[in-house]
Amino acid sequence: MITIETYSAGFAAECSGLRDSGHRLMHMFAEHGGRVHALFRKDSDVTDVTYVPEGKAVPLSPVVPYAMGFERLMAESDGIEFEDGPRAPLVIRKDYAIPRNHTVGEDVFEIPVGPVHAGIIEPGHFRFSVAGEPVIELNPTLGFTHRGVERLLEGPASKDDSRLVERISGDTCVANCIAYSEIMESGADIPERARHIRVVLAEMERLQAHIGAVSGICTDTAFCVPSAVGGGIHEKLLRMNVGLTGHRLLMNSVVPGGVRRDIPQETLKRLDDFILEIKFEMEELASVMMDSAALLDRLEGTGVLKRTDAEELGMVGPIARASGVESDVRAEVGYELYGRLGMRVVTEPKGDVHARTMVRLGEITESISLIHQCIQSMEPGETRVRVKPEDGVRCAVVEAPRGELVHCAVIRDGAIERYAIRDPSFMDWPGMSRAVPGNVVPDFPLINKSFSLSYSGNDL
Amino acid sequence: MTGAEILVELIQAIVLVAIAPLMAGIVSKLKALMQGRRGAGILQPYRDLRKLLRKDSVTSRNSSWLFRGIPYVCMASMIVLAMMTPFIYTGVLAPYGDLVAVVYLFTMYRFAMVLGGLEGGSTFGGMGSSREMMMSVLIEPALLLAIATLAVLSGAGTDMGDISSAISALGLAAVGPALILAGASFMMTLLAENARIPFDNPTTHLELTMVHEAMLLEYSGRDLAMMELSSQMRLTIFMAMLGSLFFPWGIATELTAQALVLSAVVMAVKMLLVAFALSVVESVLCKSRLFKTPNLLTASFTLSLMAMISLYIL
Repeated sequence: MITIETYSAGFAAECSGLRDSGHRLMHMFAEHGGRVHALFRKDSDVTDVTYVPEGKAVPLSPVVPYAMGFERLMAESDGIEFEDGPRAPLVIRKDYAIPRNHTVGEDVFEIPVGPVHAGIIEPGHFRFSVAGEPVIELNPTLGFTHRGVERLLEGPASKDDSRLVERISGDTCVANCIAYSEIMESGADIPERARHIRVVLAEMERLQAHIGAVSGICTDTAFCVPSAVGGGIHEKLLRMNVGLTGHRLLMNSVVPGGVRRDIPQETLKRLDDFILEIKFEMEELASVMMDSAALLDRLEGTGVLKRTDAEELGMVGPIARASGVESDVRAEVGYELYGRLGMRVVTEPKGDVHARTMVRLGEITESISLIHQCIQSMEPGETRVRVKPEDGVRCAVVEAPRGELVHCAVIRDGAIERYAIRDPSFMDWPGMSRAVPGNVVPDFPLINKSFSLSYSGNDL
Repeated sequence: MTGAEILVELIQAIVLVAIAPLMAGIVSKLKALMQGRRGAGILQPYRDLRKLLRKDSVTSRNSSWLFRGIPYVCMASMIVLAMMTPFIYTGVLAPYGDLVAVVYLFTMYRFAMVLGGLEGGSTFGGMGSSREMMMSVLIEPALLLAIATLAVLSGAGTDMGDISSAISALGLAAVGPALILAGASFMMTLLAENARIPFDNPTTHLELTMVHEAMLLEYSGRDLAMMELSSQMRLTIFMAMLGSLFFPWGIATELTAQALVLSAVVMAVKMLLVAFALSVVESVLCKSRLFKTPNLLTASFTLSLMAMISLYIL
């Protein structure tokens, strides 16, 4: 990681220089002392632009518009004040009045939905402005599940911390834990076998998330047979996870220094056969789905997210890839073993629900291939070593099932002074406001499902 | 009308009401089996109704007496329809109700439910009501025309029982383009009226996509039980009509024990066939886009129109 130390006056200029040379802003946070960090990435080069504000902080949003989200967080949780005025809070507090939409006019109605929904999903409030059925404006309000995870991680590193990190967003526990471990390992040498197992587990997590999302698309369009078949495959994966780690969601398996438990060779052999079976089953499911005119009619042209919108909002992961943005941390950074494994970044140009489903189906095949490559190249050996965090500013970037996941930590005297997490969902939620308008209200749940974002990851 | 006749007609109406939850249970069981699931038992809807009937009703503070009255209107209109539908015997308890009354009793039920959706005072009820009215406009003429085709085909006037026995008497001579087209149109209307796939998803929890269910969201306890039972009755009455008006062969046209038993068996087979067809349709299709449902309903209307025309030109 390259660190650029600057001053209030030079901050915006440094950042726009990086932006112009093709770097993307990944995250922005402030230390407790007020020092501001802005992290940029271009392929595997991570650059940290940092300064201590003299008085009020310099806003970055004029240079990178989507930095506004980070600035709102900084204003709210770190008490940073910006030169160009206050920032609206993101976390819901008692007596918080959710603002009305901007669209007004005759026959325009506002539909408030949530935060309590039917079915078992996370809380979020959605405010639609509609003229009849077509949606004109949509504003999601999140922040109902803020738990203060970042603050809970501060202090001397404890064994429980990786358990906490796994629970940031229940279905992204391996990715979060790999990012946390990379920070705590501070670049130490980790046994090869542990790296292999981490990749296997991370890809199992992706498989589970993607297969869940694909069968969810069938459920939401009432395409019941493929939905039941997809649900069956998903359940088989979860049971395989139990065989691998003893936990359906793979919790308690990745730890700083390696993995908690070796996976026996015969279990890996079984996994190798199992994923091949999953591959065939998913191919069959995909052909049933994509041969159905009724389903294609629902998916194609629904919830189009334009490439320009995805880039302007700094969106990440399968959703950005479905809009033609070719970006995958696994291919670009090559953390853990990914630099040595062969993989294809799946992209689609159209940006509709169909494209997002196709990207997920493509990534399922890629994940299966990655697991297979890992199992084939695995050799017996150690799976865990002792590690100690080194002082300094550390940053880890990982491709979670939903996209680029960033963990940053400021470590002083062996203890975490500030821990900052940026979940991929935080980048992708604003995309909903761009993809939904123009569609009819009954298509919203389908678009939401195709985004498949995490609420608790966003709210932290 | 003799006493025995009235007794048989009363029993047939009661049976029609009593088996309504069973038919709903059979359809969901068949759907579950087609998805490779075991599914709930076919008696589950009875257990659900028993549970709901034991519970208190909670109503919105924004709703009026109308909201509480609507479940009774819905139940009443379905019970009257059950008395007007030939099921096992072609005679019906309410002989003054003809096919126009049948169509508009269905409409009355729908109208009451739409009002209930609006009365609840929630967002989703209003959305469901507006969508239901959009579909209703197109369902009504298709339904009316399909049954009217039968009246013309049988030449027996507009009484439901007479139509049934006349077509039954015609035998194979009745099977022609008119009957088949009208039957197809009626089957599509059955799907639309009963909020089945592709028009609506009866099992969804996504309020924003609901049509029928959205209007029931504010009902609870006893009121919900009545709303659920009346929509199960609506499905059963539609299925019975398909079996007794469009393909009535086997139905008892005279009051003999032999004819009645035979008719009951044949009718049971027909109901199961319709339930099977319904679950196949629901398993191979997915819910269509809201603004594409009018196309399907227009197709249904066109089919029944063609059925009517074919009676005169063929």
